Amino acid sequence: MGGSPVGGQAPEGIRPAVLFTPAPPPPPPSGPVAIGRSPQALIDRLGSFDANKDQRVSRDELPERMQGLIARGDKNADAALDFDEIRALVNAAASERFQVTFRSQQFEGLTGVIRDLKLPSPKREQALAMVNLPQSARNVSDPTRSELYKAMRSLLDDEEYENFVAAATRLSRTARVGGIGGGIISSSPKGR
Amino acid sequence: MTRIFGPLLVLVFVLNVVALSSRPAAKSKLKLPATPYRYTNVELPAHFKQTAAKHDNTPLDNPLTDDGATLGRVLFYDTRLSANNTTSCGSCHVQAHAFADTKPSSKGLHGGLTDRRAMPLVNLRYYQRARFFWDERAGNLEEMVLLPIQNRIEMGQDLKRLVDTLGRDATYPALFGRAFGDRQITEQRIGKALAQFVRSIVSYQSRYDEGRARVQSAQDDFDNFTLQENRGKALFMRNCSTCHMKDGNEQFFVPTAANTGLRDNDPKADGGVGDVTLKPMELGSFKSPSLRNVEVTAPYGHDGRFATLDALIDHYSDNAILDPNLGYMVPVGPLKFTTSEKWALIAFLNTLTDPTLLSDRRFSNPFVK
Repeated sequence: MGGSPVGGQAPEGIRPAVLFTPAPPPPPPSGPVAIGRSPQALIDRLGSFDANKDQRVSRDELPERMQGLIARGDKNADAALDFDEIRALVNAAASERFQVTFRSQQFEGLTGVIRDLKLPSPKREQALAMVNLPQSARNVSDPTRSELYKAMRSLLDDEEYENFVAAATRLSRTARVGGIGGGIISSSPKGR
Repeated sequence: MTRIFGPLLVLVFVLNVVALSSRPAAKSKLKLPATPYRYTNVELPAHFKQTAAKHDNTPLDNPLTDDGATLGRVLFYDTRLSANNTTSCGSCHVQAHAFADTKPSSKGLHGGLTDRRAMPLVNLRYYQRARFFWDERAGNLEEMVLLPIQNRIEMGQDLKRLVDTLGRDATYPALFGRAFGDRQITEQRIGKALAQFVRSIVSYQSRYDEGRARVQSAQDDFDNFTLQENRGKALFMRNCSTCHMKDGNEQFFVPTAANTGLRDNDPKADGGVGDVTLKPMELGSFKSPSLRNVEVTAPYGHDGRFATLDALIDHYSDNAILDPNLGYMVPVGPLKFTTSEKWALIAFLNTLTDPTLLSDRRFSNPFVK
């Protein structure tokens, strides 16, 4: 399995992640954009396979896994796709509907976060009592201001606390977007 | 007595006959048991069966049989399925690695390299969507198994020529007869037999399965797990199961292709599913293999860019490229696992390894030197 640990032990010398470092916003895409939601991006991408610049993409210019496109779009039977044929293919596919399905995980909020830590007793019960206080749900996204984090800092060891902060931060991000815990985008298999 | 054992002796002789000449495997013998191995009616654990029937993609016209899977096994490991008799399906789909290749690109019949890595073939029977390859271009297993045989880089074989070759062989007509009721060899039957063998490759005997059989819910702690493995399982359930265990599916497939932020800035970079469907939103989406046996299927990703599970989890944790088509972590963002969490996750993923499957002789190469 290459360099992954056998037996689940972390190799020595690995430093714990730095706490309380706010995550920077994801950077915007940079450089030439090969993938995008616009049909034109896909038209341009297919056109980029025109190696001999004859304004047509022939079978040999495509990877073998894509050569089925010729049969699908070659209306004038010249064994290649010109740009009008490419545009027609892409536009036909783009008109099909997409269904975006997000499913949330209903795992007990902060109580679940504590359970996931697998703390020994009685530390586990003490931690559960802390997160079940009415004010515990506030400011969980800001460890520097939350009384809950201060209480947890005094209860948990370094590794436990680090893992609590990471899990609570993920939870707060989920909460901010309305309880959505990630998801997958699916589409109808129609047209394949 | 002779009437009973005579045909049987002939059959045993036929099944043990030396393979025909003119191929690298010419010095190999095909060794099959007189009674076919049992591929059907395998007793699956209860938690497995809960969703197995729902997700089974076996078509009505190609039910799994012991004789069909046996024929598929022989075909799977026969190098004559390639044009120059050098490459079999098993050359790249290695049993000890859950029928995946250990290299980012697989070497084809003339030494050329594929542009994607060979996927694991485990539990494909239970991929409900029944679309195969990284770009999901094959609509069923019967179609899937024939495409690498014809691919110019992979095996470069002409199916009509293959039918002729197998028809002249001393062994195959009998094997086809047992599998399909008569000795006729066709392209379609080759596809069906190979698909049966692939569908028979089912992993259900991992430490995860042992522990899961003793609890009510996958979210309960398993008594055969270490603390770290149970922590990793809890992390997985909370952060990964939305996609990898959708609706409690313990095959650990993502039920549809997904964009996981692997975008390459090269305009000619692999577009995955989008290259097939021509739907802009599906550019950069790829099918995900089952996580069962993921410990032994490195390198990871369609192009094998992640050498280890460590590197793979780092991608989801920190390094995913923001992609307009990003699907899996919308809208939560990078998962930001701590080091301790990462090792717990890996410890859990290692519990999905099924050593029985990886050495099961029913799935091994029947050509022996």
